[in-house]
Amino acid sequence: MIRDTLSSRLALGVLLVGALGLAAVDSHSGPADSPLHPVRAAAATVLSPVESGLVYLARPVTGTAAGMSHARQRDQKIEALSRQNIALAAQLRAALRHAADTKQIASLSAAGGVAGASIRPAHVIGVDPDHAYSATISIDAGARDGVSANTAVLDADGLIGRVTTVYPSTATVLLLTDPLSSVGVRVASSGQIGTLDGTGDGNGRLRMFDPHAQLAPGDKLVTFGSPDGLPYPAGLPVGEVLSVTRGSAAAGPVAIVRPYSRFGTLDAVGVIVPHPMGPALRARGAVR
Amino acid sequence: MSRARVLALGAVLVLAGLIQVVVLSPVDWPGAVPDLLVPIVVGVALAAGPMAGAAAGFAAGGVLDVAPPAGHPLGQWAFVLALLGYLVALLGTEQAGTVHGALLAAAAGALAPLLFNLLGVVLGDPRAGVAAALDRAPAMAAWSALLAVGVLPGIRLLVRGPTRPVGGELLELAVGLGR
Repeated sequence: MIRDTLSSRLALGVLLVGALGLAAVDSHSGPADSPLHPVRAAAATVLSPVESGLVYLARPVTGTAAGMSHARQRDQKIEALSRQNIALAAQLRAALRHAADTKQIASLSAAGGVAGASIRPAHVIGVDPDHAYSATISIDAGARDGVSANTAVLDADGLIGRVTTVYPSTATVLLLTDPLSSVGVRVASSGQIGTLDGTGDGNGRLRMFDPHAQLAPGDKLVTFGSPDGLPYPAGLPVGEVLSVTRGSAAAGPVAIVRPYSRFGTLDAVGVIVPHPMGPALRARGAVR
Repeated sequence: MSRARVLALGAVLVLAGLIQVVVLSPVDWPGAVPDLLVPIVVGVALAAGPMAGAAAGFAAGGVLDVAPPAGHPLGQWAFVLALLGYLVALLGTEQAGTVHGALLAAAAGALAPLLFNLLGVVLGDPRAGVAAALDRAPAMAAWSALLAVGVLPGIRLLVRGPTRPVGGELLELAVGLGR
């Protein structure tokens, strides 16, 4: 055994106290106004281009690894996407046929809940390891690209989370499976509302507000919509119910929800970038 | 260690942290996501002693704490890896072989998420839970041991430089026997 000396114990003590102090300071303030934010911002500025480059270089490795573990899922996903594509193209043609004048088109997009917003595409460049209990990812779009904090992030399947911290060229996204994430949702078929919290293991826990709400496995959930559409516009697909348990007598049912997005294979995502609302839209109360 | 070796080690730690966040964490590994930095810190601790192990752990944890996304307070991984680096050095020996090193890496790999979650509980993060860390401990131990087999010799080379060629040892042994 190597014996430790007094000087090495002292050095260890200094390092541990220093690290604990930093962590305590950082955890007591929010992510943006922590005194250590400049350190993270500097690191983000330096490291995020390297991460983007590394993603590109490592694509043969990560693609093969992901491909091997998800080959069957990918085939099924391609199949489902092709069918969805055909259905959506048909819907689009029907909608265009029915849109007689600009007033009708405006009310259609407002009902969709993303009026006055565009979707900025981005890629996932970093993921927190799963034994560090936070479900966060970083994307290669930042303040330079118009991304702002507290906006929704989605992929082809549905909602994946919201932006928590924005740096010049990268942003951190809190996934909806993180226990700290809480999304207002509505059951698509019945219109009942509830909240969806992350469970930390890839699923979500849904709690309904109405004690007499009816829930069944397979029910589809969409976002309820936040005021002004921030962070969540209404109507975004979120997930479907896996299993339902009865909560306490006074509370509504509780369900385990499988999010539509496959968080193990996130790559291309879209960030909602709100446009500043014009006075005419604001007066009409464009977004619920 | 000479300044050049320290710089090289620093570069290795930064690169390993980036590989952890970009290449390893997004993939769905069986059991748990392997942690590349734990075997490196164990390697430095076994090759260069407790102080170097603690410093390397602090630096490695620092990289994990600032590299985006880093959804946890800055300093949490620095604390955990500095402590583990120090403890592993105390349990190691100057001539630690591969098996010894892999066992220590396995223990450190299993302890790292546990300590991380415990510190999270102390800091008041509602998501931190020891149960999930315990579930992952066997898989983390296995991955760390596997990575250590490849990583430890490389780190020893980086920290200490190439050792004497085997011929020199045999010659000394022969001279000693002949006397």
